Amino acid sequence: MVNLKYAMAAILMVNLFFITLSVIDYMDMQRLLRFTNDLSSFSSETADLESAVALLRAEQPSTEYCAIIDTAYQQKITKTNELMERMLAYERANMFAEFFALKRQFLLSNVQLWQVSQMEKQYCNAMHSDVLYIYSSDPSCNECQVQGKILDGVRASCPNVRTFVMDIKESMATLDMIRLKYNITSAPTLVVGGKTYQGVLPADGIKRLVSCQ
Amino acid sequence: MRELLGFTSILGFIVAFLVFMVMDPAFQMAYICIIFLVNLFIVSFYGLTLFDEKKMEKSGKCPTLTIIVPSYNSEKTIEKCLRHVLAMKYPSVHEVVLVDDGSTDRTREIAAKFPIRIMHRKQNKGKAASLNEAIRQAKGELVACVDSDTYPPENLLMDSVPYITPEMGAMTFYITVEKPRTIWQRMQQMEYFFSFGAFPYLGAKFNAVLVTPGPLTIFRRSALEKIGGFDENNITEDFEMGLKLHKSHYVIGYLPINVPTEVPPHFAALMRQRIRWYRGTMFNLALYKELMFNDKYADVGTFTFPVTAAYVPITIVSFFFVLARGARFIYESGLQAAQFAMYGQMPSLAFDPLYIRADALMFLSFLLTYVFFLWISLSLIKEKMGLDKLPGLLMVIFIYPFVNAGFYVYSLYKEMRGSDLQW
Repeated sequence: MVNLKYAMAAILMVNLFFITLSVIDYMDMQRLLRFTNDLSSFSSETADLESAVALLRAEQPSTEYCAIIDTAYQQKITKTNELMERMLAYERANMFAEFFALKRQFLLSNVQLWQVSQMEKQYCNAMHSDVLYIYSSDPSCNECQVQGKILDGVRASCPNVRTFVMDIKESMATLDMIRLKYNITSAPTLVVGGKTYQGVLPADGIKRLVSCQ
Repeated sequence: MRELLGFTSILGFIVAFLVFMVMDPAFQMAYICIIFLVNLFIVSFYGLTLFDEKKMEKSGKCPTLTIIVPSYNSEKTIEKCLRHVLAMKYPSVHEVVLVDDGSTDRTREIAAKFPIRIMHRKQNKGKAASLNEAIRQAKGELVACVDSDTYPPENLLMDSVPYITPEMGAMTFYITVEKPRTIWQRMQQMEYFFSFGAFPYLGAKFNAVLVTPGPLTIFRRSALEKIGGFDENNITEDFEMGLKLHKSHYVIGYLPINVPTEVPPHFAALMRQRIRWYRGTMFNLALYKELMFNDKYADVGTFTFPVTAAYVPITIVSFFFVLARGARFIYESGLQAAQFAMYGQMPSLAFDPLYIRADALMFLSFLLTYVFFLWISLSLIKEKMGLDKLPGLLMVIFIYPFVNAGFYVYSLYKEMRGSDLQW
């Protein structure tokens, strides 16, 4: 009789435990579902921009083409930043859901976008500046968070600055090649106009590099 | 030797803190899951007894009864206490005895105005000694021990004594806080609802009330005589008495009758009281360790005693867990702020309300079960959850667990160190 009571309590305990875990898992999945939807449209828009730039290269650069690309780009820029912030928050908050595949997808799109932006600058005499920000997802990298906040401030005061992120710990062919090309070994690092700057750069320094307008 | 033990315990605290400081998030999650599982088991066990229909038998007998009020320097509360004690209705109160344990204030003077017997002791020897002396001279079949700062209701005896069965060694009640004024008293009010409400009420269904609360308990005198009265060297004689009764296979009853008592008004007084309680808990748990997992004592041996014992290390380890996580958070944000200051940019104080961590959700769900038990506790004495109780509730949820765990840690240190026990 006594044992039955304990067995029932144990069964109830296991049930309550799994109910709680399922609720947490469900909430995680809901957050990730929204993120996945936004990310897939983001990726397709990146592909769209890539093919648009490919067209630009084949023909003679014309101002009308450049205008179309520029408009498309302006629409994307806020979305990139929003997605980036959400990604960083999820990275800390998620416990159960598989978030890393999504993160790789986002990072790859981001780097593609950076290349597109550079090409646009090359062919269209555009006035914007591209900043590639290499951070580390290691939570002990406090400098990375400081640099991120500084970049947020720079972006808010200089509309001609476009920022892109790359995780130093993530290993993908494209990212590895970029790391080799710009000789990136530590985080935080900034790549501005083909040059590498290691360590935290204060806001004034970045503004001078990107000729803030 | 004692010095060495004290030093070892401090060393242990530091190691626990450092281990949690560098712990991997996955292990942190595992730790939280284990604690969560233990808590869920306890809550499930108590929750299941909700459906136990165990009617209390009413014998209808009113045996003779002696009321003992031990007092020491209690001039502020003694008058109100005695008025309440004398107002209690009961056909066969043998006598009311006030034991004045060498008070140096006006306690005796005030008590002399009432029609009671006063036993005067020249030397202050503690509550247990006073009670023992009064019990030796008591003539009633039952003995009600009432603290001098407790105000029992008028109908207490009529509503409870008929339920005291022959196998019952003691009858306990729902102790509440008398007119809480300070924030610490409001906090204790909510805490008493939990610890003297649903939990002993449900525990009594499987005979698992471990403590005979000091403020008011009715004992069977023959039981007290058989087990040799209160332990005069014990700092928490009420917990020791509960364990001793269980060890002699007596049943401890519980009735949800509201008995208000005075509680410590300030933090310092609360701390003194809690250190005494928790040192007593540790000491007595070690003293009665033969009850542990001993099925001779039914559910007391297999559930209540092990749970009470398990809670001591869990509370102490969790204290360092929370402390380490807090310290890490402060360290990291401090480092960030320093770096921001270096590069001329201050961190924003933006807070995302949707940013909820999984472990926070886990505690939230556990909190829900506690609110459920609070609701049962309040319904037992027909109290309502009003806005006036909100500060106490918030304190009990957000501040009490940490402060309480701190008291446990300090008690463990003192117990290891073997400092003088005092009231």
